[in-house]
Amino acid sequence: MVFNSRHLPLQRFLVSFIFASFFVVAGPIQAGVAEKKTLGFVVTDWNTAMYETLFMDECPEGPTPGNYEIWEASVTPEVRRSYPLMLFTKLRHINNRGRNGVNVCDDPVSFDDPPLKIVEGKYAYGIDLDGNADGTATPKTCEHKNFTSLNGAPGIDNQMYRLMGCVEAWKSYGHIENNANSHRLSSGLGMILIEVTNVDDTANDDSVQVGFYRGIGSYNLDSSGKVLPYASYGIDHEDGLPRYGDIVSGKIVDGVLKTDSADVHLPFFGNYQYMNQVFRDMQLHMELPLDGKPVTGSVAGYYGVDQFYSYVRGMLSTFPNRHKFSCPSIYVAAHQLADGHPDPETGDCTTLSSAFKFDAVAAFINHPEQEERIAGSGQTSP
Amino acid sequence: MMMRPLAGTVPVVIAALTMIHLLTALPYVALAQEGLVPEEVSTVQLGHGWRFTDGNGMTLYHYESDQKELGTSSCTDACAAKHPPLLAATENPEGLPNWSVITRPEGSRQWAYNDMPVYTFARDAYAGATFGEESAWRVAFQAMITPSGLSTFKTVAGHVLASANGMTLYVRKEESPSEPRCNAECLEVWPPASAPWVASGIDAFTIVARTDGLYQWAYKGQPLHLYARDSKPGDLSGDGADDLWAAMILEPAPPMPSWVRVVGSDAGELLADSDGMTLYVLNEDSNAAEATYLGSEECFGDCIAANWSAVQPQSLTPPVGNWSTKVNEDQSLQWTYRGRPLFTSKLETKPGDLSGILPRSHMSWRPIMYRIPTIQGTAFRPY
Repeated sequence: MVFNSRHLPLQRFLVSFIFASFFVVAGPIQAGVAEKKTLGFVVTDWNTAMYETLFMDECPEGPTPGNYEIWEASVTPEVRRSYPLMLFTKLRHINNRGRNGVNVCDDPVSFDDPPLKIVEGKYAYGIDLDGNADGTATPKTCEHKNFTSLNGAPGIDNQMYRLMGCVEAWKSYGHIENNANSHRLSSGLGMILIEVTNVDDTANDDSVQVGFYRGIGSYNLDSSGKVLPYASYGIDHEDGLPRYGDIVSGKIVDGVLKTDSADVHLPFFGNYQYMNQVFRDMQLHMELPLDGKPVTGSVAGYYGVDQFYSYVRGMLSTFPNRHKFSCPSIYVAAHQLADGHPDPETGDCTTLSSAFKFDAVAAFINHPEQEERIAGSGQTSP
Repeated sequence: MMMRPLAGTVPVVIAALTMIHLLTALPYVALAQEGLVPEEVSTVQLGHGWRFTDGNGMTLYHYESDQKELGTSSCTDACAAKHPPLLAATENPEGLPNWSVITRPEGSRQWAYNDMPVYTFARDAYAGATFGEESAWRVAFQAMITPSGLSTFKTVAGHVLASANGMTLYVRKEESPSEPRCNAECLEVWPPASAPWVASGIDAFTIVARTDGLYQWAYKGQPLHLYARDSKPGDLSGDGADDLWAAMILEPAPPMPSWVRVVGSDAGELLADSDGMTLYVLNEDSNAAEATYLGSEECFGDCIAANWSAVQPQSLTPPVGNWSTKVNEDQSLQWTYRGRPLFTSKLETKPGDLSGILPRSHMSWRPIMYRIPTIQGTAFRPY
């Protein structure tokens, strides 16, 4: 059918109808071209992937002790009695139990704390990041012990879980990650937006692009405090460029999005800490239901030891005891367990293989006029 | 029979109109008080009102806690040392309807404005400084008169004329009451600041009777508009639009030195040095009791040298807005913001970093936010 001026009202109606149908049916689909869809998501929950058994079989020696217990075991009853009775005052003194009153987190190598209790179990979440099932050293990795996935796949790399899996506060019932999620939800800070573009088929597509952004503003919540699907979010940008905005290639297989391995920056806020997290060789797996229901996904990659300790240090400096582990123990164990990206000079590995789980809901992502960065291109956030 | 309803309605309408007119005219009463201040007090006229100062030009403040019991002062001892009360020589002022003299707890007499005692701030380094305006302290101020339905609002660009709910008002170039340039579709994006048809002009505020039947407020002869894309009070997204529109800024924000940059961060836009490194102020009198309660260790002395770099000027310079320079005990020079010394963090490596915000130091070290983000449920307190 060819439209002419006599058909103008009908033409307008049909065009309007087509556009309206597009938004109603597609939900988070944003692209203006019908053949290529764009899917947007806002991350609502982010946790270290911890495989936890009912009786903590993964930690045969039990949970790791905290700063207070370590101090208490290291001093005589007389010394214990000489400390202030007020708990907070006492803890402040214990935090600074280093030489010349140095804080345990500021100078972790100067302490002789007992080794961190680490995960000894067989199973873990995550993926085979290095493609090496036996855990021997490669040019890109250091020797480490692999896990087996819950479905029996060997070669799972997840040294972050080995490091933190016996820390009670870090477990799913602990307060650290629950606090962080709560802080993000109430503030909107550290909001991760994921945008899938160039989608031909939401069930199977061998070539899509996945962008990672920092959202600005608050989460759109319903009356029960849950994040509403299909809300609009702006991205953090400066001088026309997103402050985050790595883009990686990926594909959709049977409704599951899988990205290629690439270095990706992701924002983080929690426990009063801000981080521009860098995930080396990151891969993302995420379901793609298009019915507005919450989405679950996982991220696996290498996480910098220094980056992680900076978070631990910032968090523990105030309450080393409350978090039930000590900075020196964490610091030493993190460096011992690091299995990725050897330092070219020392040969010591600088990153920890890791896995994180997240929940997300469909969202509209609003872009300013901008250019975008390509993940792994070596560019850094401004 | 038909006249009864009308007969009952007319007085009500007249009463309502009278009320509206009185509301719009009330500010005249306040205007009449301008300049009527005690001998110990002076006023500084700003674009959005009058700031009260003492005889030396030092800014006067109100303490929010004094609101609990008007006519009394709850700032004593250490508080009064930091915020000296403005003492009064006389007991009962005459002809100063808004000013009164209260008796302080220790027996001395203190001036009060609208029953709120006034104080100076010991750390104000120079006349006109408003360093004391933080936490529970507010500058003693007589706001400009605005018709009901309009207000003023503090934005990053300064105090602007706003609607009653704080939405920024704009003016268009070359638009005047006799030559409206924004009509029809333009008004969908730039709605007029509508005025009641019974309202009357006040001072610089006049009424424009538009040809479309609407009545619109104008300020100094410029019709006022809202901007449809502003979403919350303080937004200025229409400022500079099409090189035609400008926010009605009454009092510009204090200037900043040329070396200060606004950079993005994960906490929002903040102020940084010329390299983009986040600027932090050291609050040397942070709440020690709170810090002890949290078991935190504040960073002073050697800790400063190890973790922080002083922001140093090349020479002492006159104050620029809230920014000034000082000479430290070791004779080094340092920039200050609102009277507090400025530093950058040695832990940070690139623009927008926030490594300086560590929980155990957040009591005393704070970045200077350009736009204050809404951060509910966290203890993050930007300066």
